[in-house]
Amino acid sequence: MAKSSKVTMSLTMRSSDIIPTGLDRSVSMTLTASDDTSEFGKMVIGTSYEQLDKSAIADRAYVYIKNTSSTSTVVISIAMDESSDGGTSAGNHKGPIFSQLAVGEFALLPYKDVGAQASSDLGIHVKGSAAGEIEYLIFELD
Amino acid sequence: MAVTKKFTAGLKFNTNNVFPNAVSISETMTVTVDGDAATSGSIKVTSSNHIAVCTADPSAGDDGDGLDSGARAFVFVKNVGTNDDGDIEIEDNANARIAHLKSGEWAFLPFMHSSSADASVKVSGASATAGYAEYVVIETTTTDY
Repeated sequence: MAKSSKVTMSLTMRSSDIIPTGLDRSVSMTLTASDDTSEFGKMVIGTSYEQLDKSAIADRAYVYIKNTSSTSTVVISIAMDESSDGGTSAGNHKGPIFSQLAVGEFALLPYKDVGAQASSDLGIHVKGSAAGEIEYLIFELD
Repeated sequence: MAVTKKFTAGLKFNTNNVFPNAVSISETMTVTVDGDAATSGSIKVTSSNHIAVCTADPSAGDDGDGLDSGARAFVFVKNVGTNDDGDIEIEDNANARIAHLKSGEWAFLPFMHSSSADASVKVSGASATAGYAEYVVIETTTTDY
């Protein structure tokens, strides 16, 4: 019997002073993860790009990344393979940095493989402004 | 005296059968906001639309020219359409897809200005079928790290 792999996620956003009407928004969702790929752990990173996803992602995946560096000044940069590069060698075709995380900050990204890479590789790359650490979680949906 | 604005986000994960042992994550962060743009709203899009929801100047409207140089913004986008509506995609300034959202799904990411190009966070439809998105954008810094 196939197992039922569920992931429940909830997000709250609050601020009393950045939007005139105030901000108090909570959302949640429960998704079914495929049996194919899931990763959860911590990664020590340096100042050169390292590919976050070690396994091929065929289509869609949710990716959670948190900067857990012990040094407060380490900034984590995130980039991914270009959608139009037609590259076949994952890790060598990075687009511009699209996101940065200070220590303690996190991101939740639902990524869809663009299909341009022959390896069907997800191609998310991370590096630090200095040696640091991230916590990450990846689970494939489709 | 300058007014310090704050933005708090909390994220929780619970998994069942995804990993050998159940994973539960609960994280909260409070960010000081010194950017000059914060906006929220909802839009209707198709694959013919690439609507910038993150602008340097809120008065420029939703088709503005992106974040201030060096700026960062936390971006939340949710597909609020039904299963019969179109999927939603998040794109960078060059209309390159970053994320894909089906009905009910959402994303939360800190988007930063790219020094090599103007930085807009764009929302588009994945097909010709109209999709519906809710968004919140908070520019947290006007200078890069």
